[in-house]
Amino acid sequence: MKKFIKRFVKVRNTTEHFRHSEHYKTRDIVSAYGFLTPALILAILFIVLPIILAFTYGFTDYYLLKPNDKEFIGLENFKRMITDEVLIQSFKNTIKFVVFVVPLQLSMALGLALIVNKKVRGVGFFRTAYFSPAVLSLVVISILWTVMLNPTSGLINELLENVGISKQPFLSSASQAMYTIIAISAWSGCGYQMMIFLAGLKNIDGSLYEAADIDGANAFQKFLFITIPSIKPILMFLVITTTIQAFKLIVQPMVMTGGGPDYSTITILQYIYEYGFRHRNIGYASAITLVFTIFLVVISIIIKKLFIEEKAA
Amino acid sequence: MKKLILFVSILFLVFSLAACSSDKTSSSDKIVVWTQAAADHPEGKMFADRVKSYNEAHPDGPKIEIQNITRAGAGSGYIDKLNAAITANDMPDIFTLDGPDIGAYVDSGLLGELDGYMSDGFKDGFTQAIIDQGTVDEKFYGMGYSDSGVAIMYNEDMINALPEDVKALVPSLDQDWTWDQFIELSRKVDEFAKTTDDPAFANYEVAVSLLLTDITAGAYELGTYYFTPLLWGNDANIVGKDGVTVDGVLNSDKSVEALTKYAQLFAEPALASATESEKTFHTGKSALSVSGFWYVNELINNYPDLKFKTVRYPKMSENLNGLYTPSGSWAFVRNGQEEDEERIKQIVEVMEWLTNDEASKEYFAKNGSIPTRINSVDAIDTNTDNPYHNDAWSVLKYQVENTNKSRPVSPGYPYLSETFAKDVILKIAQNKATDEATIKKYLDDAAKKIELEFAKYKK
Repeated sequence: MKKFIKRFVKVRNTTEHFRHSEHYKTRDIVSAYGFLTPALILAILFIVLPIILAFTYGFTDYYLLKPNDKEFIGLENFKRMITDEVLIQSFKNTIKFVVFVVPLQLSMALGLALIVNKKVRGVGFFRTAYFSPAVLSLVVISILWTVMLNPTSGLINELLENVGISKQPFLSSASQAMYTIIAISAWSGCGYQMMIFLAGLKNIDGSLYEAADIDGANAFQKFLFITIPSIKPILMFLVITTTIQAFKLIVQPMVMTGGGPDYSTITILQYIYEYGFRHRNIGYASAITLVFTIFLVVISIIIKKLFIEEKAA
Repeated sequence: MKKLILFVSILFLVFSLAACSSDKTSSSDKIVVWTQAAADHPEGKMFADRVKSYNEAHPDGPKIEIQNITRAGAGSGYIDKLNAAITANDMPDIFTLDGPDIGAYVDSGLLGELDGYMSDGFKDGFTQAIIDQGTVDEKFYGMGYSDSGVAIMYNEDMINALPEDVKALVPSLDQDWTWDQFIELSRKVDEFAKTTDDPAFANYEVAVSLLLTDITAGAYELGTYYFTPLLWGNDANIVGKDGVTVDGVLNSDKSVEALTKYAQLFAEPALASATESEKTFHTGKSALSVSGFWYVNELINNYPDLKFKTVRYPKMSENLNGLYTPSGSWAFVRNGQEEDEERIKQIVEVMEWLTNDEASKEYFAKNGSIPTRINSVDAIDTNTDNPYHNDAWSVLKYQVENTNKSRPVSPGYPYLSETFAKDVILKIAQNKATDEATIKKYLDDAAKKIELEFAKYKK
């Protein structure tokens, strides 16, 4: 409560300052709107308007080749979603991806951050090496891994065969493909998060570890009782952003498996894209988009709530 | 400084909005043509040359303005722009479409028919497969500028290394053969490859390259294009004659029978793979290949060390003498929203210029595009210094003249084709499904899915 009052007073004072500064008033307002307008118009054009359109199109039979022949069909598209087996499969795949990739990617990122946080010779090289996948395009990464994972001539299978393990159908088996995509996604995304974790680790007061040493704490205890609590805000931030990002998976399955084999890697976004642009069924694609957007909003609210509760605790 | 930033911001905004607005391309003094070819590709250049020659030959008529909008991947890029133009009611006068897509655009009222505007006998100058491809409900809409073809290629060094009795299974280039014979040859090649030390087989991975990886990558049409002929050859099809009935056609017993033969390629030990390496045939990793006509130039120009021979696409049955080889390609169509009769005549005249006998010969010379005109097929030169070129084009020429068949016309073709390629052709390969019951199930599931999507066309 105290914090809230302090913040309110600060905001009020700032407003008062502008109210009494007649000299800046007109100029500041014009400048503010001047700077705001381009972004606002672009946001309306490319974010607000599409959301409104998706909402309206979701209740129509809009076919891309007949843009002037849209008919209101009520809840037909939504009813179809319930019986659409591929859509349900794509939803399950997306959830599976999120459930696995978030903990895996964050664990890898934290592990790497702990390694490169050590003050040893040549650590700069490893820091750059671990971060490098983050600067590569996802399409490039996906193509490279597709070549490396080729079941007959790929580098990974050649290596496996050399150590006595049979060649694996990483991307061509319905039971392995999604896990392969999860692993590659975690690998390609963890470098960026490593840097954020690293920033958090650098901010931990060294005296805490010294005190723990004096108390006889071992490395694991120090990690559990000093490192983790100290980087908790960063961890929560990364959990939220990674989760939201993971729900938007499309590039890797699109490039590496085309959503197969047997729809085992198709994701919601890919399905929306295919229905909207390949099959030109904008009405149905909009209906799925609408439901998915609501689902994402609910997920975001839940995570945010958890985050606030965690912070309050 | 702030004023400057403000000014720049507003300027940026104005330019952004201006960029979003459409350019009115159509006017009475010019005819706008859109193609899916890249401007710097031989295909784009050949169109540009053809347009230039029209403008020079018709100094008093409307000028043709061509825009080559690169097609990225399976129809994207160009198709996205076309969709945007349709939505904005700003379509060009003439544009290109892939043959099988014509039905969908006609069903949406976007294309104008050509009968009644063409010169006498012009339509009859096209090969039958090209006329069929451009015809919907007995009306002609699309003038194909290029045909296509698929044949079987084999690695000459590998085949020469085989025992004589196996070598004898390879047909000559003017000989028909069947899928059973093709699979028997593939099986013998695979058995030999696993026991030989012959250097020709040093990189061997698989007996037959099918390019199914392209389906995974989103080029679904390739699967339908390559393998629908199996169904045709067994008196089956992927859709009924009305273009919208799938149940009972796609999943008929004849379809199951035909696809069971295709599936034999994946019976263990598999002769083909859904995940073959990049350029499998080109790099000597497979002995045989189901190859599109574009392989000919690609292999000659980029893989000069590869000795390849070409034989006909196999029949399903020895007794079959009908049309059964894959064909069809992109075609010029006209904007159906144009109502001015005089202008329509001018537009059709330009389309004729872009697809007539002379153009057809030019396109073959510049880009290797298979001629679509009966009088131009002889432009295919089979007496060059390169025997591989001559063999390949002899086979393809024979198929264009005798066995090429257009893909079915359906308003929902893109969905039909994608589902057939992904849910049947690719699935059989990925799951190595070789028994009739499983294949029947795949076909039933696909038919059910397509019927659901096609319900809108039956209203």
